[in-house]
Amino acid sequence: MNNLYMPELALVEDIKEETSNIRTLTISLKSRKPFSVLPGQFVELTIFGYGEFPVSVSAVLGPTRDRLQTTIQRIGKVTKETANLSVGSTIGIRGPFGNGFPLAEMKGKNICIVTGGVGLAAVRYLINYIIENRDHYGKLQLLHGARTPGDLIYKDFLFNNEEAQEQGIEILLTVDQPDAGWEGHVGVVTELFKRTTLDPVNTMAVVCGPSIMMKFATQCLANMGFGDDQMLVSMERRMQCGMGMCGHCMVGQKRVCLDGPIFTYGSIKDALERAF
Amino acid sequence: MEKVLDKAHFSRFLGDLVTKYKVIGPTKKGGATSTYTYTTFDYVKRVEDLEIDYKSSMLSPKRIYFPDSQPLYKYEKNGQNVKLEDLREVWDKERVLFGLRPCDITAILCLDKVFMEDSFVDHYYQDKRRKSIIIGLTCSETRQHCFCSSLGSGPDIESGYDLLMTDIGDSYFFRARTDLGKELISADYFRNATDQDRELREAKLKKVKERLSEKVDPAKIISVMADKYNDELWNEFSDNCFTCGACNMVCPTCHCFTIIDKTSPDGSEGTRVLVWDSCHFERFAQMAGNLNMRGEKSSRFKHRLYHKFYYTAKQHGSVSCVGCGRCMEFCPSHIDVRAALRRLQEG
Repeated sequence: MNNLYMPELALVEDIKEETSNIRTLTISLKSRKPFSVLPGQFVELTIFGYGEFPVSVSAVLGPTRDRLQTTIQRIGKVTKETANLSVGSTIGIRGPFGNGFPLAEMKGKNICIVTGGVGLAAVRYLINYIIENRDHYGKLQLLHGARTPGDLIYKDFLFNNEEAQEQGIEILLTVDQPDAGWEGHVGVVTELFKRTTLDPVNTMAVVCGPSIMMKFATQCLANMGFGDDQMLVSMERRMQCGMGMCGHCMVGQKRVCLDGPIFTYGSIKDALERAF
Repeated sequence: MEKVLDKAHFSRFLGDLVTKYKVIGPTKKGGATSTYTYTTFDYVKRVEDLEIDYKSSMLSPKRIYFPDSQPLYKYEKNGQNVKLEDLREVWDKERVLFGLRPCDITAILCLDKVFMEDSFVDHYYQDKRRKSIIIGLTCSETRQHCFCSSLGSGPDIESGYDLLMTDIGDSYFFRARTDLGKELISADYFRNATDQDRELREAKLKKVKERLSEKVDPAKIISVMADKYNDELWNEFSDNCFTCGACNMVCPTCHCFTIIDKTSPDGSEGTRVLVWDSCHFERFAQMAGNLNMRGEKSSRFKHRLYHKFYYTAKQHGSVSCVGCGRCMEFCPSHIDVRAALRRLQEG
């Protein structure tokens, strides 16, 4: 019988320090099996001896798609232990879980992605996917905010203007608190809406970040004329089983692990309970 | 198929069941160190083990399929070599679940929807369910908090069992719902039910139903709940709640759980365990970074009732409260859920 709670063993292949408390792990299954994950889905990682946590998948790499990247902020009891992982460490992985982005519905549209902090990790795979299938999508914008310049993840990607131009992606950045070297925008991410042209017609917005940021970003987008079903939100909850059974990720009648983590703003708004 | 068993032959029937299957039934526990006794479901071998006339069991039979603490797997770590061992319980052979009340049988059908009829199938749960033979027993009495008749989960039910027994005086009336159930009552000490037996059964159940005076209307509650989410009522209802979670533990349909690791001091080995959780506990909806989506007591109290009535109706098409009354019977604060439901349906 298939024990749904037993993880597969995986190997940490590479570690990239993104910020002082965020790292990106590249992992592969010990069985070398390929990963079958859609942009927007999440996995449950086990640090043996400490526990398990849900985390979004940021990339699936390699010609045989046998490597998976995930960006982890050390914020809870178990994620803190990822500080002690090194290349060659064994961890456990279950999944993928969740619905992923509605790629078919997004096809042919302009995509505006609004993220805050480590929320960018949850849409990184989507960005990669759009870049790989660039002809299928219209304009691609990324509006990203972080607390300080030091809190920005994926710096190689965010600051490579040449590559961004080649890939046809407009990137706008902001920080709440600048440091001496920061020449970019200062302020909350929603202020970036004023610094670019954004037309709701034939556009889908994607929002992921801290609760309060999601609240204001969706409000701003709605004011700009985005309909409830033109806004996609990637939700965070403490999904413990990932299979719709444990009850921890309920937002009203919705279960983030099954019905989400990607919701249209309209569907999560209907769930009675506050989403952000 | 309907048959009747003289009570004098009951021990023969149980004897036959025990030879062929492992039998789980209501048993009396406690009393050794205190005067407190209670009924719970456990393995029985003889008639004397059974407490067939039990009024209620504090813990419902859900523990048989969904134990309060369930080892999932074990890991052993030697450097970077990790060995995993499946620890989930598998039944060697069929179990007879004997003497389950209609409300508790209906509750099992609610759990089925969560553990084997939704997007994921818990194969271990499903295996136990497939190896189960359910012999229900209708109630002869009602208790203070029973309201099964309002929710269609008693005193008589149409599905969820192989056999349903009713005490009709000197004998038990058996109604079979499956081929296996028919086979179980094919022994020669059973006799065919007569119209008179059927009338006795009907009269008995009618009497029970008359005593269940509570009128809770789930359809009405579901329709009202859509507009009552932000109502002041919820503060009032939850005012006396200790958030102890007793209602969740005794509830036959509560299925929320958490997953914990029990590890050796050096972390080299450990067991991952699934344990019951309570949505009343303060940190139930807390996320990493300490953002708590249900920090208010009233929001958690409300969540439980919305889950039972509104959310499951939306997800699975029917409510997941079976009216067993345990949450009220064992609430240290004597919160009467029926009163809250009544207030809701009255608008």
